[in-house]
Amino acid sequence: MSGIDHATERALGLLQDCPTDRLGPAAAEAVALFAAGANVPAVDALADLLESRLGDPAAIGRVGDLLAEGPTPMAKLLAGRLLTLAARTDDAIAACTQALASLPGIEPDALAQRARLLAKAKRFEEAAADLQAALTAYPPYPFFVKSERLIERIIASGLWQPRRKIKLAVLASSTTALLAPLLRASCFRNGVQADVYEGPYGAIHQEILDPGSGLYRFAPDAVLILVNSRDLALPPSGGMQQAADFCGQLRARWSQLRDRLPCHVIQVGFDCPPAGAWGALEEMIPDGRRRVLAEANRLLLADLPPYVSFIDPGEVALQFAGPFHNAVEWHTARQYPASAALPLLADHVAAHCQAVLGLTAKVLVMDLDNTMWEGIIGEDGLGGIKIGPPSPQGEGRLELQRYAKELQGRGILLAVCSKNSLANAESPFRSHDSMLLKLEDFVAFAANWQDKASNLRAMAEELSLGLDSFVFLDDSPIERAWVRRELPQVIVPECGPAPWDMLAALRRGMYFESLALTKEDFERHRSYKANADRRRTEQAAGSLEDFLRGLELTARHGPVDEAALARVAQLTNKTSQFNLTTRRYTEEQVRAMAESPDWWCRWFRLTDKFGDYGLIGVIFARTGETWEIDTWLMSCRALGRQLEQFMCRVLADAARTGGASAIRGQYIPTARNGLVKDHYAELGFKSESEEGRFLLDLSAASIPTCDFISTSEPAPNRI
Amino acid sequence: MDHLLRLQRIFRDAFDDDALTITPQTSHDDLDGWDSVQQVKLILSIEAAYGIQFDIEQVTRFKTVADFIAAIESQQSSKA
Repeated sequence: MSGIDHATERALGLLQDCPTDRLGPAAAEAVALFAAGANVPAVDALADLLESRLGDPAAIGRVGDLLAEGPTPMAKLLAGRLLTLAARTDDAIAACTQALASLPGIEPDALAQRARLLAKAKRFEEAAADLQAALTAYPPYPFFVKSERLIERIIASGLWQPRRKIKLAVLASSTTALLAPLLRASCFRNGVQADVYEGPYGAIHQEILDPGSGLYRFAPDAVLILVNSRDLALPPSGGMQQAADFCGQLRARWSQLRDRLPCHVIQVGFDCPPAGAWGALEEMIPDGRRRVLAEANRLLLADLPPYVSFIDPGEVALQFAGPFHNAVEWHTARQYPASAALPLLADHVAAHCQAVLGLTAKVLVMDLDNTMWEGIIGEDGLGGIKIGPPSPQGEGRLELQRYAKELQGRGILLAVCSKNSLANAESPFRSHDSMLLKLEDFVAFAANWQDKASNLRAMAEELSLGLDSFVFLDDSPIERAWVRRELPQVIVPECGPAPWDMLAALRRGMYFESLALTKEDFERHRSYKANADRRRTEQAAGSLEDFLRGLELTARHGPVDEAALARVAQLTNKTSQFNLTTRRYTEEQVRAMAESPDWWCRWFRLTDKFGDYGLIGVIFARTGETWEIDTWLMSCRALGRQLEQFMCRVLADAARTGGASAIRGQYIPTARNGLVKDHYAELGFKSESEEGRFLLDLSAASIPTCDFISTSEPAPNRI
Repeated sequence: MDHLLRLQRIFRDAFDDDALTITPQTSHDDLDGWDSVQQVKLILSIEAAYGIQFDIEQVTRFKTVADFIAAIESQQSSKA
């Protein structure tokens, strides 16, 4: 990035010394000095020089045309720049597209170049896709300076469709002007539109304490609180009480904030500043400065309320691996941390936002050869592939397997997608002593010669999960590019070929960041595995009726309480197919409804002889003379069990007991919930004059019974 | 190479304006959105592009494009 390299100097020299009428061929000669890759700074420099020497747009365009015919991506990128200057946007886009098609991997600057052109042509959706792709390569800070206004323009166009929106407030004891656009950019990359409110500099306490503050007018979904070690003004020793007081105040602010506003809090802890004058002593003596800082973070983390999540700047600094503090930036602009570290901090915050919205990825799909193990099983055989010591690569692969296994331990599903014969693919899992992962660890195992996009699509269908919850890890740049092209919604980490590169990419991506553990998380793998067994029974059973009877279904239900809250909120955010209204709620919003006397909020669980499906159904209804169903959803795992009839019966009984005469349901169509368009009609609701509304008259209606589901008593409120 | 051209590229991207033309005389008053925050961002971008670091005294005096160019030249000559 920095400076101008030798090839660029020579190329510029060629153009500088050349007569104007020979500039076209000279430009072609100049780009030929570069290798086959992209060197966007050089392209920029050449374009700028050609612009100043040629001046006339038509002449610039002619040189652009000549270069567009050139053989290398560099020639085409330069053509793109020149055609842009000649105001020939469509031709410029075509040249860039040709360049990008022949570049392996992700080139953020080249993608940004095309994005700018696409935005000019008002093709904002495509521009957004290019910039999102550019951001998955985690470009350094200056990339954001040159693209943040473009990103904001794309968002403002309204033509980009985010997966979700979030209102994020930032309160800090340092300046937030550089951070705010980065938060928008990181969220944008994750498909989330973030509206960001920046509190006044250094006014964390005032903003929270004053009910008339801008913070409350903004009414955020999440509040980021960014403090730093300078706030504590610690002496080299003896600052414990000072730190404890500060942390106590901060914790009091959390609850004051929550009392006024149902929002999530993202608290950044205290950083470890560069070594103080007392050096190692600050760590060694009991109340030394560094020890006190560590203790201050522990005080913040102790009994962390469920609505607070914590980012450890020490962890961010470690990952950043550059100077986390920049004294010049602090003293001139009150910038903390160093601007170079800001993109990574913003990514951490964006990962928490994603988790607040329930968009955490659910499945890790791994390739086998040179991903799961080192080597190619079909060629090297069981004895030739490397897993575990003494091979360093083998050790690295084992570590990657352990990481995957630990993800599985908290509810992330594992799958395999490999171009291999099934027998070859399975053999290391069956017969290699060093393998940590076993065949039963995977909920889907695709080893065949089909293209990987088709396999992933089939997998998503089989698991009833959206492709946007898949992370696909593969060592081959060609497979990655193919999957990105065919299935843009799948997350495909860009990574080097070594096992530690892949592990670093998974860590950096923070795709699986989660803010709470639910019981379902621990049991998810078993539950999906049991589903695979059910599918086999389904294929063996003669009729649907036989099948359902054979399952020995039992349902339970209960009011949404504190124990069920996290899971219920998770379902409102994750469920897209069997979801009548697709209303997304945060935990705080669900809690508010569940605690209100005007609402009836119920969870449903289902078990069968193969196992527990877990908490898989939710109804929220507003009570009254006519109950209004606000939310009715079911997890895909439980579809086709006639649980909806059971749920309807429970709802109708409750409404009758509550003195209601009717129940009104609503269907709001989305791209994904066509499955339930006849849901209310099938349950005996009558269609109303207003589109998408259905009414069940409780005095007249006969509620369909559900023959196959027995019920255990309304459960104690446990999940 | 020509610093003005290179700065123009950085300014065009940062101000999100492909047609922006700057001269050495271009100053804070001429460009919409050239505020103190934008100033910090420009400085960081230029430092990264040239692989240099301005000193604080210089930075606080930057008012025009010519000030940037002078500072770049003095940094480069002190490095050489």
